[in-house]
Amino acid sequence: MTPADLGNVQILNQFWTADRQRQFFELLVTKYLPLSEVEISQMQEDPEEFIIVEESVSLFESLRVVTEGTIMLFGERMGSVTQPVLQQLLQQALGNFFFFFF
Amino acid sequence: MERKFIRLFFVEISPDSPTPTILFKEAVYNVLTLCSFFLHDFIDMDTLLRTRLIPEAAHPNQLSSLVLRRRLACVIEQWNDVKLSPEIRPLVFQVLVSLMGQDQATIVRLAAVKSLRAGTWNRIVFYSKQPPFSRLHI
Repeated sequence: MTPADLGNVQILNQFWTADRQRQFFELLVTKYLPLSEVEISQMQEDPEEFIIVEESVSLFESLRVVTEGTIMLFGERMGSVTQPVLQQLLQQALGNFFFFFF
Repeated sequence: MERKFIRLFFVEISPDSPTPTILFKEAVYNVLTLCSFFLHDFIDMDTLLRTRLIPEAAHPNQLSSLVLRRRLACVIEQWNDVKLSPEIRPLVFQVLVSLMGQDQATIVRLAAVKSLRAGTWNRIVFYSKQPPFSRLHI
């Protein structure tokens, strides 16, 4: 790693505080991941086309695909941050349920 | 490691559930699919399916019957390869077969077919002599 790379890492670490990561992850799930009205209409009116499009669109064509990729990245690299947020989101979605965390 | 039990508060699905509630649930279940590779150590998916996801998807709410049933098929597709116990597989298999029924929305039927085509089912259905899988052996 060059000094410039180290500097970049330092800047990134300063920016991505744990709190900011949590807020960002929550924003992804609550704002950008839910299906839109247009998508729901497509599901009902032309389901085959909906699936073809969903499986073929690239990162550059769909905000949802980018969101899904980012969430996977968060899960992979920042599990300790995403787990409490997920726990909270699951709490809202699933509710009165004894949920096991080991 | 110590097992912690966390009590959660639940928003029930009803025929007049607001759309954002259902879409929020769908989004969270999508995260379960996307992050299954690291969540499998933290989540008891067998219990979650049996007590929450499957009963919710069975609800006759029009929107939930569309988006939550489709998402259920996707969750099963992903978790079947990651971590589902052999005990729950017959139930899950029956659910997928029922989601392929003619009374279901096309998008749900397609998701169920896709889920059943996933690798693990081929092996289970082919080798199993036990119901419900054995019913497929003609």
